[in-house]
Amino acid sequence: MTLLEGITVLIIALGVFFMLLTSIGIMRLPDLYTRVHAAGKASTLGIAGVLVGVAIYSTDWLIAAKLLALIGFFLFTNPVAAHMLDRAAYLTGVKTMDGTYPDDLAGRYDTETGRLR
Amino acid sequence: MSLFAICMSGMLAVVGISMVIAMARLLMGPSIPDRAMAFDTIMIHVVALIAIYAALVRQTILLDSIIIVAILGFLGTVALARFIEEGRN
Repeated sequence: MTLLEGITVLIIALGVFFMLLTSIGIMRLPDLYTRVHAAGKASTLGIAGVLVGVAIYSTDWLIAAKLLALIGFFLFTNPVAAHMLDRAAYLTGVKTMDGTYPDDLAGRYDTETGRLR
Repeated sequence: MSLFAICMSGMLAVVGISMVIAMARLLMGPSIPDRAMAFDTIMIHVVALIAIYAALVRQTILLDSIIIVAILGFLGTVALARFIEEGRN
């Protein structure tokens, strides 16, 4: 195993660890909002680690640029998807877990249009 | 089989196990947004599987398909969220 392959395996292992954390999080956490919290952040970090590892291993500027652009795409789109899922869930009335005390959004959504007042 | 190939195959196995756990949430999720979130997670796992496999077999042509899967996953999740949001009442 050369040094390049060792670095690749280390970085990809870090990314794979965070992806496994994502799956355990969406399996074990108690309600939808905490699960989306796990799926929106940890999976972004995990896929960024995997793609950085593959980009280092490729040793080709074109492939590396493509993968870095893909990382930028994930950094933009993954929180957007998580936010839209949370918003749709709140508007359709998915319950939070017991003991969620401050609900700052209670009564602030216009239920006709779905916009904040 | 070199040490590098063994390590990469082990990580493919870990991503596969992780995808199975996300698939369980897709099957048993109590609400529709749960299933949409599990779908998003599974698409990200597919991207990671293709990337690690492309590095394992040294086929850079496989990396082009990652872009398609990533865009399909994001658009599918956003479309599902819009459907859930517009389909309330």
